[in-house]
Order: sequence, then structure tokens, then C-alpha cells
Amino acid sequence: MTQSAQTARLKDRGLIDRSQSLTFTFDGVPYNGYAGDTLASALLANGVRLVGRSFKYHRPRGILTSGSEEPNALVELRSGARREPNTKATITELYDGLEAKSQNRFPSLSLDLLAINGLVSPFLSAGFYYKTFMWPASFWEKIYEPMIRRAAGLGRAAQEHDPDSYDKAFAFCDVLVVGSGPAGLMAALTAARTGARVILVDESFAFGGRLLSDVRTVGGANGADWVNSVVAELKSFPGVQLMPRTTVFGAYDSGQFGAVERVADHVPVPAAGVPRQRLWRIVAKHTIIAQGALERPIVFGNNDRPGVMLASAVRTYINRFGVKPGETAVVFSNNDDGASTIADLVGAGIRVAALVDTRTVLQPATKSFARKHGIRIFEGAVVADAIGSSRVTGARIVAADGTSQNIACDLIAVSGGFNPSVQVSTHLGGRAQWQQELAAFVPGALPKGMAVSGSAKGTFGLASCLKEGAQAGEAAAVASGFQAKGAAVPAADDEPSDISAFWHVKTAKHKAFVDQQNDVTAADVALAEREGFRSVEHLKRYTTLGMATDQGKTSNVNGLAMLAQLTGKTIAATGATSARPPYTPVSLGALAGEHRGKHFKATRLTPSHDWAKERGAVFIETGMWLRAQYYPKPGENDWLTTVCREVNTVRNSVGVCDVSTLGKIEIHGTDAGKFLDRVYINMMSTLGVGKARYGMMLREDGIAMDDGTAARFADDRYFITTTTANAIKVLQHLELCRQWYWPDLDVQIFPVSDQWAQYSVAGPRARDLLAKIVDAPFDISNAAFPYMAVAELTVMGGVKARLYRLSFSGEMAYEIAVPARQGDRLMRTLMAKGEEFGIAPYGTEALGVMRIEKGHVAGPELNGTTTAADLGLGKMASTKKDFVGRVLSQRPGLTDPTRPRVVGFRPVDRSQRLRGGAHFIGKSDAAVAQNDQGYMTSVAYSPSLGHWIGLGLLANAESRMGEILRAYDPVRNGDVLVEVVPATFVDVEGARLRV
Amino acid sequence: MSELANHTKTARASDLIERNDVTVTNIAARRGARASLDELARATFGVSLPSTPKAVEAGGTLIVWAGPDQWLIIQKEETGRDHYSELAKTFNGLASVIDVTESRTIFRISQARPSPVLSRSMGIDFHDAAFKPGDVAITHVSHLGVIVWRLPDGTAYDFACARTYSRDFGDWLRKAKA
Amino acid sequence: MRINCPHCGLRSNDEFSYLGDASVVRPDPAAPNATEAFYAFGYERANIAGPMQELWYHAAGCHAWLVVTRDTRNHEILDVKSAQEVALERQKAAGTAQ
Ligand SMILES: [Zn+2]
Repeated sequence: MTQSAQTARLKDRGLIDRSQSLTFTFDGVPYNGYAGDTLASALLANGVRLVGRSFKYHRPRGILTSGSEEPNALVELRSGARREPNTKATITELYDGLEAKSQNRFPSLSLDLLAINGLVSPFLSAGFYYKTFMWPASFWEKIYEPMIRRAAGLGRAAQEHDPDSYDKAFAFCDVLVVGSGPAGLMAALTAARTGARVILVDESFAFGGRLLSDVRTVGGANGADWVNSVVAELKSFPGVQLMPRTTVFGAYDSGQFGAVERVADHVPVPAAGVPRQRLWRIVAKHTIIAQGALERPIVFGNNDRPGVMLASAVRTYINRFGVKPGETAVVFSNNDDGASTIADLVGAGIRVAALVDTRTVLQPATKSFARKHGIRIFEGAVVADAIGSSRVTGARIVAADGTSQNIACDLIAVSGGFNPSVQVSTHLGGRAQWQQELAAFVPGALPKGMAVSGSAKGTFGLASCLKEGAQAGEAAAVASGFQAKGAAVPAADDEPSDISAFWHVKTAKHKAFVDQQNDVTAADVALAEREGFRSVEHLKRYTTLGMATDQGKTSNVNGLAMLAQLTGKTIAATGATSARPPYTPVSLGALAGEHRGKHFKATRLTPSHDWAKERGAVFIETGMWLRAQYYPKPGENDWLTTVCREVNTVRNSVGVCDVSTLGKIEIHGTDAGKFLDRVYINMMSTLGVGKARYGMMLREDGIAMDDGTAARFADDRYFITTTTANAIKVLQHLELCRQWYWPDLDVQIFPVSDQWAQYSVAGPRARDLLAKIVDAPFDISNAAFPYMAVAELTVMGGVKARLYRLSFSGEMAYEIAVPARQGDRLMRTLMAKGEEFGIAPYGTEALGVMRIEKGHVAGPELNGTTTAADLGLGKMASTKKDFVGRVLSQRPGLTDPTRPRVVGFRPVDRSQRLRGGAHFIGKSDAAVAQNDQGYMTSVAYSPSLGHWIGLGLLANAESRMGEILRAYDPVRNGDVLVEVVPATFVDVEGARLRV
Repeated sequence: MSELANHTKTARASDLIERNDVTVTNIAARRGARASLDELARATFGVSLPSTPKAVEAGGTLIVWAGPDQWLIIQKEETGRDHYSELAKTFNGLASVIDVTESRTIFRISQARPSPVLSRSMGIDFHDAAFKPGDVAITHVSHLGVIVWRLPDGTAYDFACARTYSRDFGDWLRKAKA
Repeated sequence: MRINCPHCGLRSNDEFSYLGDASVVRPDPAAPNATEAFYAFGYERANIAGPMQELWYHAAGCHAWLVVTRDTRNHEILDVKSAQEVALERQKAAGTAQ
């Protein structure tokens, strides 16, 4: 393939590196550019003007700006999994091998069949979503929405998994400077010279802001050279962090800022270990916003045609990128920017056909310059329409006297004045203020620690910006505790910046766009006003003005000024919409950072996890934990077979289950017993040393919070367990009780969940097994160590351990705990020594089956709606003391005897399966909500009984033993007759526990 | 793979190691006993218990602030010695004392100054002047709780994270130390 | 937001969890009107626009409960105290140590 020449490249200017030629493609066509180009400048250098189609009307669009405010030049960047839609060509740094495609065109950019939308545009006017597609409702999903999605839209996101990585990072500084134009550079330099820690951020890959784009002299040097010298000095300070390619997208409370650094967006594929983007949280003591100002267009007919460009962008392409954005220009302005622009155009050898200014009298110097270069001057005039369709071929000028004439040109440079970039400075709620003499919104009340400097504040002259930046930098450093060094401000001139507000050319014959990205026209604004949408917030939502990915940077102020004209109010009284983060779009990948795939959340592993994995355990995620759910043996093909075997092994011999995930908390201090009495519903101060007791905690509103056991190892030393799920919540609650409710008690609380690996050893042979590992002289006999006994001892030859005679399975059982790093060894030892008993490890499924067989409540019953009485534990509550939740648990609503309570269920036809979540309905009642009697909370197939069993919450449960009900489960077509039975299914007397 | 199991020598040819040769004892002052506890601590260790987030060195023992009126006493493991029991006996009545050796995995990054990657990796300002030798922070990274301290002699940073999270934490730290 | 924990220093709000109004005090459960008082304690809250005393827990830090005075209109943190210290002072003032 041959590459087209860069026909529009200027020979003698630009900050690009002509020694580094780069190749790229646009819509498959190869082109060349240089290092230092953006995609937009490289396209212009190659004479490419048409780069996309518009959102609704598929109108041809070109390049309007040279920055992140661009509404039109949006492309799909890269391909395959790295394809990124809606990328602004104006800030896309050119790299070798860059691939870009135009978007929103069908079938091709130059021939777009959907441009017919432009012809049916009356249906796509303001509020079209609300009006056109209202009826019939069934048409919405089937016809309207797919049609709109096809016809209107932007680029296509990649369908594959994003292959790149994203990173999150933190930064801290005394002074954060956002923007590196003259004010930002001076602020950073002045602050850095005091020794303050400074971060300087700029969204471009080069520092300097407008100094790179305009021909200016600073301190006797050319602007770009001065920038280089300042950056070199900044680099010499160890406390300065320079962050190019970084956008501060939001200001947050307490001096925090969100920023995205495009670490590797300027290379085809990030290098190994390098993230594509990095999300920064910057914490700054003081911040100087120096993001400059953005030029705004004037709204005239066909003002969206490729070849209509902001005047400041025209200068950027000429001066920074050495590109001719056109051959013959018409400049249209309402301010002195027009004069600067004709000077640069002439300097670059571009013919200027006319300077059209809405002001009636221009500066004599401007006029004589124009005369000298054969530029026609139109004072008090407007460009009413651009002529041409896929590119500008002329301008229709309406002079002060109302006469109209066409002038041939291929570039219309337009300036309607400048909007200070007030977005970030108003993110925290300060309202921007309208300043009539500047015809601009300037920042309002600023958050603490923030200053705004330079043109971001409405200070438009270069000398003033330098001075203001230096002052702001010094003030911020001094406020951070550094000594002022006295800021030397380099000499420069203030450029003229006279302006006379002008928004909208009413003599336009063609569609005049206010918001080019969302295709909102002047007519739409007028229509919205006629239909009563007269507040800016309503205008925005009704017309979608300012709601595209550019957030209305080139359209909001024009739109609201036009609304003000229509309503006859001042702009100040019309007000502005609020800017909210992000300033420019932030990719979801950057926000997610590393938290994707298996890194979405942290994983907690128990100390014997590796053993369980070797054993072939099937794991289940429970909260952060990965727990063994069951341990299939070779030949076991379904989980139920495995779980039944595990249960039977426990009931007949011995099994071992990893219960290390239990929350574990040490409660020490002379008032530990008193403290526990106040947090548990039952008495804990009377618990003997060497004993454990089951306990329940309530929330202050009387609802059950958590259950577990408390063990006492000394008068002032308790150890309690919580459920796996509630470990953190209970600790927080106990700390609240200790610090806030009863601060005078002598209590110390230590979370020790990770200290201990803990195993339940359960079954008739449990004692025989443990006898083999406890060290002499510990006596594990039933007489010496009965049910609910606890002890500190050593096992396996000197390993510190704790033994608890507790049972959750209903069998004779123990829980044994060893220091975490001994857990793996203990598990292997138990398995080896238990071989002669036919030991089996069991997982959370078998654990669940056995607790349901015993009628023990767990998470499904302790579900935030149940009281201790609902759970059948009402008698546990002590009447001799107060405890958290006692008073409100006595409320009539919670003591109502008809409240649903936990009871057992079995299917009348024992072969039928039960389903959790099924609702109970009277045997002959209809399955409607009024007949609801409660619901099934837990079900299991009981290998001990040979059929399904369940626990559930049932109204008036006690009086309904033996009653037959429907267990109705419409979701899974379940409708089973069940019998109400006591909640304990196995060993009702509890004899097995105590043998 | 080593973070969960019992293992002894994990020093790698790297500046990131897991410390498995220490015992960690958590002590918390009994109500109203802060002053007398400190007196006893001075008699025992020769230094005061820090009342701010600091770590102090006392003859091979590192005392790390671990919250209001709480400290971690970090001591080199010695065969035949039970540091926890000795401390429990010493401070009996003035402090609650528990063995938390197994509660956390302690990783050490031997860097005299924080690398740029470490500096930006946590919500703690690691700048040399902001997080000085002997400074302590209890915080979290990527949803994982951690106590980090800079050794009083400035030679390394220690990160103590909950043991059951230590594989994820180790992964994170290996990335963060680069 | 960043909250200045009196024990740990300035930390980002993601280290803390929020409970609510710190001006409500757990009532005396033995008082004759305990039910009403607990009802108010549990459920009745003023919706304050301005400085408000709130309980925050330094969950990812030192585990201290804090009484934070925050302006609800702009998240400005005006004061942070140890909740235990505040509670002790309150008890001392009321003479209600238990
Ligand atoms: Zn704290």
C-alpha cells in the first residue's frame, strides 16, 4: 500500500518531531504522521476532514476542536478486544500502528444511507423519545428501541474480554496543580521552589497548555521554549511529581481528587506489567485549578459542517502541529480572538477571505492588518450559514445592513468567546457565577483548600495568568507550612480580550446546532421553551442538550444563553446546570482496577485448605471464604450420594469438619462476665471456669442478631464464637457496647478468628479418635470432660490446643482448636489416626443436613426478622438482668403469640422433595397471598430418616402439630402436602450428646 | 503456597520475605491501669509503650502500637522459651495478654526508602518524611486489613495481614514492591 | 471525605463505617418509661441540615468508635472525638457509671 503525502503539513512550524514518522490507518486507509501529533492533527495533515457521522441525523462531521471538549471527531480506536468506541481524535496521541475507524455510519463514511434521518428529522426533535414512541406500548421493545439503537448511536464497544490491566494508585501532596498552561506552570514552579510537595497534572502528553498553541513571548523567550525550561526545573525537585496524560476528572470531599492516567493509551499494546490506565486518588492539602478556558462556537446554519472549526483550534493545528486546517478561511467572531487568528493564518500562508465580527467597530490595528493582507472586514455582521455538505465550500455572510453574500472558503474559524473550565471547581456544589463583562461563567464559592487561577477563573491575559499562577502557588505552599521564596514572574504581554456577547445567528436558513454531539439544534431549544421547559435543568433533560459524552463543554452555555433570550431573562437569572464528575469519560476498566475476575474480591482460605484441595473437596464461596462443601470419593457421581455418606459416617462412626471460619473473639477483663451478661440474652457471668454455654445476641430492636457459644477459661477470660457470616458485625457491635454504652467496664476485646484452626470431630467414635492425639495426662473421659466442658491442653506432642465439647450435629462431638499453622498437620493427623474408625471429612452440606435433623437454627432462620422466641429460644432469655434488645423485644408486635415460629416439616408422601422458600397455605385454601401462613426456611434430605425434612416459620406453630399444609412453590412448580412436626428429627432426647 | 502452612525458612533471594521466626503477643491495658502498665513496661523493656502509632525497639523486642491502649509485642522465637506465657505472667492484672502469633502473616519488604510503586500502592502517605522510621499505620489495601510499620532503624517495612487472607495479600505485595 | 481519627490520623472515609446520630443515648432500661424511651432511642431521629454529631467506627483502622461532627450540607468534618472519652465524660456528668 502506498501512503498518501501529508499535503496539509506546514514546513516551518509545529512542535512535532519530524524525525519520527508514524504510520496509522483510518477506515483502513494508511497515512503518515509524526510523533507529537494527535490523531486529529495527523488526519488534517493528510487532508482528511470528514471523520464521523452524527448521533441522530447521521450528518457528516469533522473536527471542531483540538481538545477533550470535542463533540464530533469521535472514532473507534484499535480493533478486536482492544476496540474502544467514542475516542476523541483530538486528544488521541498518535502512535505507530494506530488503527481508527469512523463510527455511526452505514455502510461507509462517505455514503451513509441512514443520513435519511436528516429528512425525517421532524420526528427526532426535542423530546422525540417522549412523544413519538409512546404508543402502542408493545411497539417499544420490538420496533422502536431496536430501530433507534440502529439509527442513532455512537461506536461499538469490544465484545471480547479486555486483555489489558488497570491499576489503582494513591498520591499525596501539599499542592496539586491541575493544568499546565501559563498559570498552572507558574503555580507549580513557585510552590516547588518553596520545597512543597507538588503534583502537576495535565490531560495532554505535553505540558504548556495554550503556550504550545499560540505564538507568545514569555520572559524574552518563545513560549514553548519557556515551557521546556520550567518543566526542566520542575523535574529537578525531588518533591515534584509530573503527571502528563492525566485527567483530574472529579473533586471530592476533604481535598481528594480522582484522576485517570493514560499510561499506555499511546502504544498499541501495553508493555508487560504495564497497565493501560491508572486510576489515581490524589490527596492534596491545597489545590490550584488552572485548567484554562474552552472556546465556544457561535450557533449558525450548518455550523456542524466539516471545515467549521473553533478559532483557537485553528491556531493549535497551525502552531503546535504544523498543519493547515484549510486553504481559504473565513473568521467569524464576537471577540478579539478573531484578530489573533487571522494573524496566525496569514503567518502560515493560509488565505483569509474575510473577518466577520458581530461587533460594530473593530480595532484600527486589526483593520490595517486586514487591509494589508487583502482580508475583507465585515463589522456588525454574521456568518449565517456554512455552504457545502460533506465539507465547507463557502460562507453566507449577512452584513450589518442585512444584505447577504456568499464567500468561497473551506474553513470557517469561529469564536463566540471563552468558557472558563469551572467544572472541577464546582463539583462540590459551588455554583458558577455569570460575569457579564467577560460574557462567561466564573467559579463561585470554592471548597476549602482550593484556588482557581488564570483563564479558568476568567483571567484571560497571559501576563495576568503568569502572575496569578505564581501568587496562587506561593499562597498554597505557605498555607501548607512552607516559606515563601518570592515569586519572580517572567515578563509577558496581556493580549486584547474584548468581547460582546453573541450566541445565535437568527438569520440562519439551515439547521443550526447547539449541541453537536447530541444533535440538538437551535429549533429544539426554541421548541422546548414553547412547550414549557424553561428551566435549564428541564431544557437539558428534554432536549438532551449537554448530556452526551462531551458533557456540553461547547454547548451548555450557548444553550442556556439562547434560553435566556427566549424567556427574556438574564443569563445570571437563568442559571447554569451543575457539573458533576467525571470531567471527561472514565473507562469502567480504570474504575474496576485489579478487582475483576478472581480478584473481584479477596479470598479467605482456612489453614487446611491445601489438604482439602488435595482431597478433592468441592468448594463453595461463603462471604469471603472458600469452604469445603463436600468431599466426593471416586465413583460418587452426585453430591447427594457424597453428602449422605458423610452424614452416615458421622452418625455411625466419626467425621471431621473444618469450622475455622467461625468468628472467634476473646473477651477479657474483670468485668468480662458482666459485659457478656449485657450482650447475650442469657447469663454468662454464672458460667463456671472450664465450661461453655450456647448464647444468643439480639439487636437493640429486639430481633435476633447472632448465636454462638461462650467458653470461660478463667474468671476474667472468656472466648466466644460467632457465626461465620456475622463475625465482623458482632465485633463491631461488641466494640460499640464496650466503648459507647459501658465505657467504664474493665473489658478488653480481641478478634482472634485467624489465630485458631478449628475442627469439629463428631460421632460415636469421636472420643476414641481424640484420645489418640491428646497429650498425657489430659483425661478425656466422659466423667472428666463431660458435655459442654472446655479445656486448654496440648496435642500431638506439645502443640497448644483448646478442646470444647460442643455439638452441632447431635452426636457426641468436640471442637478442637490449634494455632493456625498447625491446622494442616492436625487435619492430616486426625485423618490418619481415624482411618481405623472409617473416618470421613465432611463439608458444609453435611453440616447443614445434620443441623436441620437436629432442628438447630442457622442463617436462614436468623434472617433479620426473627426474635429469640420465634426461633424457639425464648426461654433462654434471662429475666434477672437487662441486655441489649430486651426492652424492645417486649413490644406487642414481637410478643404476639401468632407470630410465625420455627417448626419442623416432613412430606406426607415421603418420596417427595421439599423446597426452601415454599410458602405454607391451608390444605384446602387457594394459593393466594391472603392465605399465606409462613414459609420454609431450610430443607435437607435426611439420610438418617430416608426422606426430605424441613424447618420453617409458621404462624401459630405450637398448636398445629400434625396439621397437613400445602408447601407451595410457584417458582419451581412445587406444591407438596407437608405435615407439621417438632423441629427435632433425630435423637429427640439429646442422649447421644452426653455419652 | 507458604503463607498458610507451617514452614520455617522462607527467606527468598528477594527483598520480600515472610517472617516465620517471631512470636507476637497482643497486650491491652486493663481499665485504669495504663500508667502502672507503662511503668512495668519500662522496667521490663526499658522503653515506654507508645501512645501514638509508633513502633519502638527494645533489646530485640519490637513494641508496635495496635490501637488505643493496645500493643503487639514481637519477639524472636527461641527454643524452649514461651514468650507469651512470660508476658502473661509479667503483666498479669495490668493488661490482658493473648498470643496472636498465628493471627497474622508478617511480610517484610527490605527497602530503606519506599519504592515509587509502594508509595502509590496504599491510602497511606509513604513519603519518606510523612511515614518515618518507627511509624505505624493500621489500614487496608484492596479490602484486606493490614498493620504496617517501618522498622525503627529504617531498614524495612513490615506488613501484618490476617493469616487467612495472606495468599491474596502476598500476591498484592509482590506486585506492590516492584 | 477524610476523617481525622484521634488515634490514627487523617484517613479516607472508606476505612470507616457509619452508625448514625451520636446525640441519642441508650436509655436507662430500669426506668418506668423504658419502653417509650427505647422506642425513641431506636427509631426517632432528627434530619439535621448542618453540623451533626455522628457515630463512626474505624473499622479498617484502630477499631475505635468516634463521635464525628459533620456538616451534613457539605461533608465538612468539624470535630472528631473518641467515643469512649465522650461516653466517660457523659457518665461522669450524670454520675451514672455502672
Ligand atoms: Zn483509628
